[in-house]
Amino acid sequence: MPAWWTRLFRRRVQPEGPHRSAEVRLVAAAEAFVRPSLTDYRLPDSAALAKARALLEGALTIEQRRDLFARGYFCVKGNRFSYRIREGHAGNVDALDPSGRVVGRYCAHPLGRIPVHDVMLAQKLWLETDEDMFLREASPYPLHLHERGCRVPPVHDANAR
Amino acid sequence: MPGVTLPDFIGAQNVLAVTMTCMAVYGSELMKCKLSIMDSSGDKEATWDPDSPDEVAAAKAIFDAVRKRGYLVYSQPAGQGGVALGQFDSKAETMIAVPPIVAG
Repeated sequence: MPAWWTRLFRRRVQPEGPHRSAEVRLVAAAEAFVRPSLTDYRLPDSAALAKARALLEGALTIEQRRDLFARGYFCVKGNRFSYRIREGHAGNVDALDPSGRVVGRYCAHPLGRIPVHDVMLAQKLWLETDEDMFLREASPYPLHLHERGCRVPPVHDANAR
Repeated sequence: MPGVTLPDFIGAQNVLAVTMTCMAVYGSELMKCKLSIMDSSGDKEATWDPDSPDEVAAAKAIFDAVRKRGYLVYSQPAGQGGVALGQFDSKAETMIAVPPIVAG
């Protein structure tokens, strides 16, 4: 093959030089980092649960953390309702009216097999940043008859008990 | 320090230099920013120094890759409400990437 052809071919294949290839390498490394591991289909183990719990607790206020320890749920203030996020993967978000009564239950969760506390953190972040979208996208979940109008103790009552 | 004899080669200046180095290292550890990407292992963490352009570029590449997969990224200051991030913020101390959310 003539040398001029080889030079022309290289110029066509690598038009932007080493700078471009460094950028491509960076993007490839990022994609490899983000790609799910081969064990991602497994259920979260106890280490995963502990990590998720630590991440959630770091994001909560003191009152929310206290509620999570004592009662297994915490409350998030929205524009329309307050919400109670219980431990669970599905149907675990209750809408509360100003008097603390359960007026609705919603189900929305992140895709994938992620630990339960990651699910709760995702729901908290979604409610805090885009409540309308949450109410539009989430599936309403049926309330049991005995739960309708059931009053949830508000956060600031925790010390009174 | 009473009761402690330092070797001759450790002068007061050396002790000061070592102390300042430790403080600088400790300070730089404190300045690390973090992106947690939720997955079945709890979360994957990417940390970077906001003053290092190379680390910021790598973190931004990860942020873009995560966004391309449809993840929602939030900035989450400790004990406060989250803030949705549309663009990479190299100074955000804690970012959390949440997989796409679906109705149950």
